[in-house]
This record gives sequence, structure tokens and C-alpha cells, in this order.
Amino acid sequence: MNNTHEDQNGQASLLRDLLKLRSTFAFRRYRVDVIGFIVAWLFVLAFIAFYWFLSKWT
Amino acid sequence: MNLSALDWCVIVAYLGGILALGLWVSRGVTNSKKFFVGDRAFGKAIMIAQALGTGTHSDQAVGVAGAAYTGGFSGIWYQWLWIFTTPFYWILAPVFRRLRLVTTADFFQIRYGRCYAVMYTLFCLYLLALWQGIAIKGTSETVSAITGLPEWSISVTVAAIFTIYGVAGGLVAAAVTDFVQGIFIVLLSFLVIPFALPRVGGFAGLHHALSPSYFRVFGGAGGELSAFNVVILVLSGLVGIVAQPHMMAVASTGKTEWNCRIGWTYGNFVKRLCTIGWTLTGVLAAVLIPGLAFSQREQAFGMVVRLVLPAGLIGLMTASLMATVMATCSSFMVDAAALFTENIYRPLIAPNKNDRHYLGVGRAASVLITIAGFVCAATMPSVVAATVHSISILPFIGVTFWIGIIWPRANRYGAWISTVASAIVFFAVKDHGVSNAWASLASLLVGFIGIIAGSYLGAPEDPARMRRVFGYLQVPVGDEHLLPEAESE
Repeated sequence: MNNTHEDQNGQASLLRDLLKLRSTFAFRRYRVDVIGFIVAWLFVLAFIAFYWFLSKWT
Repeated sequence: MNLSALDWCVIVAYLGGILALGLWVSRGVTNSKKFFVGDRAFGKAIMIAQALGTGTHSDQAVGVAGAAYTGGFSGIWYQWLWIFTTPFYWILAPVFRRLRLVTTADFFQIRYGRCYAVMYTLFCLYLLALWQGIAIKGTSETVSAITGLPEWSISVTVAAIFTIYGVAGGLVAAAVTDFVQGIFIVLLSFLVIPFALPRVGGFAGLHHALSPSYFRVFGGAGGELSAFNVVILVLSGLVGIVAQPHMMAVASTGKTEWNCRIGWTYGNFVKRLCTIGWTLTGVLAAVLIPGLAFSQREQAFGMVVRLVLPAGLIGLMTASLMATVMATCSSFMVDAAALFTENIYRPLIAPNKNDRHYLGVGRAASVLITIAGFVCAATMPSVVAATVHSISILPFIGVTFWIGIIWPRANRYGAWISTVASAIVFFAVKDHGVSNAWASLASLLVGFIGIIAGSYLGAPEDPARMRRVFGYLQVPVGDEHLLPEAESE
């Protein structure tokens, strides 16, 4: 099974490889999953921070 | 009757416009693939709108506003619990897209065999009918409170419109109209605020009128949700989200994986933003309409709408409320039709017919599922209790989905043991008076242990089918040539 292309594009699936990540993990392989996941968590933090400031707004 | 002529004009224009748009985009829907999954050709905007529209119902807005009315800013956590599951949609979306299937039941059939898929399909048909009925009934109650119109007339009107365009255009019509209705959902969320805020003297006036406890963000929703409950709800929500029957459409109908990721994740972030508007509306209502009893708090949303909005905008709010139910129900209707046609009718009742036949069956099933929704809502003695139970069961099936995509050794024996054992444990523990959170935790643990134990005890699944599942999951959409043994999409 050819996964070179998948590796090069950083499109490998973290979930599919979850049980073997200790041996397969490399940032370039899971780049799209990792960056998007982190950005989404930053959105979560930004939403909560915005809401907290809104609750203090006078 | 509480509506002015201007309000009526807005409502009629909205309903007529949505119907016309739905029918107009239905012209090109001539095969079952387009009807059920829109040919997987949706762009980012449509995918965002589909996630927002399918996942947002007016009863959520009304519920959060009611919780904020009594609990203040912490009332937001009734919906914001799911903010912690949202980032996971980013990594789940390509899993759904790469499976290249029409329904989640298709996945269960390939992964665990036909019996498990049929069980899932029957359960989801009941669930989708029930959810439709609840959404229609909930919205009709709110709209009736605002407009004074009888509930039945609102239910019949919205159901007739989304059924007509849904039957004609399937997921294409549902998704395109979701785009317009998504705009109305955002309007609904924030429309009251600019009219109500000046009446209370702005944010300074709010702080002056309400106790400081109203402005605590992390107060456990007025003391109603403990930290333990929140953690368990998030966990079981994350496990169960993949088993929700409409997620295959929400997560996999984009033209590219990127569209699917953006749509599912950021469509839900738009909903999180709207939730802030619902909470502010509830807090403003606490100042403008004080004195509602706890049991009446969900009337706060409709009452503040009537109090502060001028003529014309009440009509716009009414149209927006209707938009939430039409966006949700049209998608549920098509998802249910896909499940029935692809996982019951085609394999079990009438295989080897031409595509036109299955398209007709899908359209007929769409009508029947909406009628079933009406029957469910009308005959259930306790619809809310039934919904809580059905939602509680979803994580038990979700366990088998999660393990099914990460562990090739998982098999049908494990799947059945997991689902049955976790359901038995949940209801048995609940029957002994244990809280919902502890019952969920116990059943999830049993579910995970059950699938692992059962999979080691039973024979592995057919290696060729497993290669199909895991091979497809490895190959990004558009790169099918990298997997010669894979069937073409």
C-alpha cells in the first residue's frame, strides 16, 4: 500500500493510526490533523476568554 | 393574534422564498446519490451552513436563554459543553469523508455485518422521527407564544414546506436552504440584544440590576451542573457524536476533505457564537421580565421578543425560529430516507432495481418519516424522557464506531457484546437510583471492555473487508489511484 503521497502532504489520519502513533508519529505525516486540531483548541480558548471578558464588561 | 401586517409580510416572504429556493435547486436532482449525499460536491459555505442548520434547533436557544434567566452567564454551559468536543470534528471529518459511504449504517455493515447495521438503522429511523417530532413541537410552542397562532397550524405549515422541497431536492435542497436559514439562525441569536440592552442601561445597567453571581462564567450553570457531570457529558457526547445518523451527511458531503473539516468544525463554532447571543438574551430578560418561576423560565425568550422588538422584526424572529426547525428537519428527513433506502429497502426488500426506483423510494420514505415524526410527538407520554434515553444509548453504539476505525481486530462479536452490555448496565444502574453521569461512565467502561473482550473471543472479520475500510481511510479523497485494490467511488 503506497502512503508516500499521504506522508508528503501531511494528510495521514491521526485517528486511523491512533494505536500505532508511538512508532509512526511524525509532524510532517500528520501536519493537517495536528495544526487544525491545535487551531480549533485555540478557538475554544478564544471563545471562553471573550465570553469571560464580556461577563466583566461594564 | 399578536402580529402586525408587516410581520405577516416578512413571514410569508420568508416561507415563500425558502420554498421557491428549495424547488429551484431541486431541478438537477435526478439520481439517488445526488438526493442522499448531494454528489459530495458542496463547498465550504454550504458545509458550514449544513452543520449549523442541522445542529441548531430553536429549543436549544430557548433552553439556554431560560437557564441564563435563572443562572446568569453560567447558563451557557448547557450548550457550551459541546465546545470541548468541537476540535475533534477536525480530525473526524476526513474519516467520514474517506469512507466514501452514503450512511453510517453502511460503515457498520462493512465493519460488523448486516445484522448490526440493520439494528442501527432501525434504531436511527426511530430516533430521527422522534427528533423531527420534538423539533417541530418545540418550535411550534415558542412561535405560538410569540404570535398567538395555534400550534398545529405552525407545525403543519413548516412540515409541509420542508417536506415539499426536501422530497423534491433531497440533501441538495436541504443544504442550500440551510445556507439561507443559517443566516436567519444567526439573526435569531442576536436580534433582541440591540433593542433590549439600551432598555436596561447597557452592560453597566445589567451589573447594577443583577447580583454578581449572575456574571460568574464558571458557576456550574446556576449550580445545576457539577464538574463531574460536565466531564462525563463531554466524554459521552464525544463518543456518541459519531453514531448520530446525520453526521455522515454533515461530515462527508463536501467536495474536498478540507471543505468537510471546515464545515463541520467551524459550522459548530458559529453555533457556539450564537449561544453567547442566547445567553445574553436570557440575562437581559432577567432584568426586563423579573419574577418568572423556575418552571416558567423557558418562556423568557418569547416574552422578551414580544416586549422589545418592533413590528416587522417580530415577523423576522418568527421566520428565524421556523428556519431552525426547517433546516434541522429537512436534513433529518433525507438522512432517514437514505438509511431506509440504502440499508433496509435495497439490501433486504428489493435488490437490483434501477436507480430511478430507489430515488422514488427515498422520496416516499421522506414523507413517511415526517408523518412518523408527527405521530411520535403526538403520542409519546413523555417525549423529553424518551429523548434522554435515546440519546443516552448513542454512546453505546459510538464505542463500536470509534474502535472500528482504530482497531482492525474489532469484530461483530465485540460490537454486539459492547452495545448490549453497555445498554443493560446503563438502564440497570439507573434503575437503582444512580445518577445519569455515573450510569453513563459505568456503561461506557463496560462498552469498551466488551468490544475488546468480544473481539478477542470471536473470529476476526474478513481481511478483504478490513482492507477496504482501513485502506480507504488511508487514502485522501482525490488520491484513489494510490490504492489500486480499492473499488472506485
